[in-house]
Amino acid sequence: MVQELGRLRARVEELEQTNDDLQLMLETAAEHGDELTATLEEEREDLAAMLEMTTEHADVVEDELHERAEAALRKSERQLRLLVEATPTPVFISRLTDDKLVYANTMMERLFGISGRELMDRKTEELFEEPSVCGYLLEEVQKRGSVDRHEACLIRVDGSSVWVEISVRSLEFDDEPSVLFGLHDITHLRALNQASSRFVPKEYLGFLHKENITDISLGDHVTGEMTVMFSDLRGFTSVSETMTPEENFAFINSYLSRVSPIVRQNNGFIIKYLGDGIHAIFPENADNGLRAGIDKLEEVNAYNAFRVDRDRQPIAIGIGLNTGYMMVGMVGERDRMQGDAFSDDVNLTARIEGLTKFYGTSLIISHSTYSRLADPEVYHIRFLDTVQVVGRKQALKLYEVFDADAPEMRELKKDTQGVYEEALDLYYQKRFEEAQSRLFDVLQRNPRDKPAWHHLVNATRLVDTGAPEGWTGVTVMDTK
Amino acid sequence: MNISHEDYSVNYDESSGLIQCEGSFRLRGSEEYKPILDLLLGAADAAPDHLTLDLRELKFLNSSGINTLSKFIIQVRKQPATKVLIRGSTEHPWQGKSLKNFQRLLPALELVIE
Repeated sequence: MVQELGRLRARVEELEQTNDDLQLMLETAAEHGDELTATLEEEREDLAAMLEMTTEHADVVEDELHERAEAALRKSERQLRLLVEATPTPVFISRLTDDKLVYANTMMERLFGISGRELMDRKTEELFEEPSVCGYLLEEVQKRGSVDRHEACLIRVDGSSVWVEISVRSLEFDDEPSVLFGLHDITHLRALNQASSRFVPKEYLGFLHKENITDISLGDHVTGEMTVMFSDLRGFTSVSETMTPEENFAFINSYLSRVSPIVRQNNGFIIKYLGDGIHAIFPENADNGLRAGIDKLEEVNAYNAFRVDRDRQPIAIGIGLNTGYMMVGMVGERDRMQGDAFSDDVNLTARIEGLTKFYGTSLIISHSTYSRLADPEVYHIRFLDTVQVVGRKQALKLYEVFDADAPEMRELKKDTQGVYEEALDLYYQKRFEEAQSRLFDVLQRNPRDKPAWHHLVNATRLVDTGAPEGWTGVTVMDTK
Repeated sequence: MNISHEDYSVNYDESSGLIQCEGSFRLRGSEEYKPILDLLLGAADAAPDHLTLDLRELKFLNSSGINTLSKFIIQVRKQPATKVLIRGSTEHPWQGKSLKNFQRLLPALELVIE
């Protein structure tokens, strides 16, 4: 029993010990758990703090960068405005969404003569004389990003116009898609150019490969084969004697302003006016020159109808055309120069023009012009004579162009052309009597055919005297 | 110990416990920041009496950068004997706003922004 009691006691002690151990273990485990929890909690807090810090920092940096960018933008905007304000040319900006002006610099205000505020909110196209030009510029700048030096006419508020050269760029202005217009006032320049082109036509500048009259210098020239025209008023001296100086000027200018454009229209240009005469050249081809000659005569016919209606004397002109190698350029001295064309062929053309009086015809062309026509058959041309002019040894074949003769005269010359040319063939073959009879035929049908009369007189004289030795049929001129 | 790069540099003087960061920290992620972090952790583990982190010449610090610095603060916290001073400059506005947050991780941290 005692033994049993002792065993039980020992067992109780053992169990108590185990219980203590377990309790200790439990406590240890719990404490360890607490510690772990605390560590985890701390780490969690650290991580939360880090995340917050990082995020906050990111915000701070972002703000700072944004402010810096804004400041830089404001600075560059201020600089841009300063730049645009100080620019000595008019500049304005228009908003694309509604095509309204949103900015104009001082020069723009000055150009338009109104304040910037008054300019604001105007439609961009209202500034243009032709609204379609504005449309074109906006289209181009959207297509290509820029337009440079486009000439356009703008209209001020008071209705006056101003010519400008416009350069256009697209840009963002106040966060809106906009377009910047830079202007260069060329009103004065244009007027000056227009004025100078009256003295040196732009065709002439182009011919000398110059863009501007300021590029022209003494000695600039072009050489090559060209067709020259001289034209002159017949009997102007006697007509002008009856007029006052004012009437003279009015008459000459009235005549020249009618015939001068014809030269231009036929790709030629006037080298100079010689009193009532015109000296022009046609660099491209002989047909241009001949077409201009015929057109000029037709214009004179129309002008005469106008004059006769007003009881004024009709006028007559003579035209000579020749083609040859010549120099066209600037002559004179540095401070006073003019365009001129010169060569032997130029002088010869003046002589040919003079012969229109002698033969009683209005338009004579040389063989060199005749041979360069694309198709002589499209004109009314007949052989006129072989001539040796003063100062030249070589004889020259001349042709009469009668396209601009009065319709009946033209028809008669056309009808008799076959017989007329046969007569001249016979004449050169020294068969003067046969030639004479053919010319009689011609004159019977057309008694006012002056060249036919000229040949008839010669043929008749040679029938009587016979051809002298060395006779070639060349008409030798002994006066200019 | 030094780390130097075109855009930034980190100089650590062990004898004085001074860490100077200069330039702009624009590195990408913890990977690129590892050399800098290693330098900073090494300094913390050395457990000196004083550690000074001089950021006055650090113009720019990105988010991964602030993350790296906070890992350093947590590490140095494990050495209660080490006194930590961070120097910043008012010239770089972000420093005034972000650096004081390090005191959340280490309340004993001394911060001087001048």
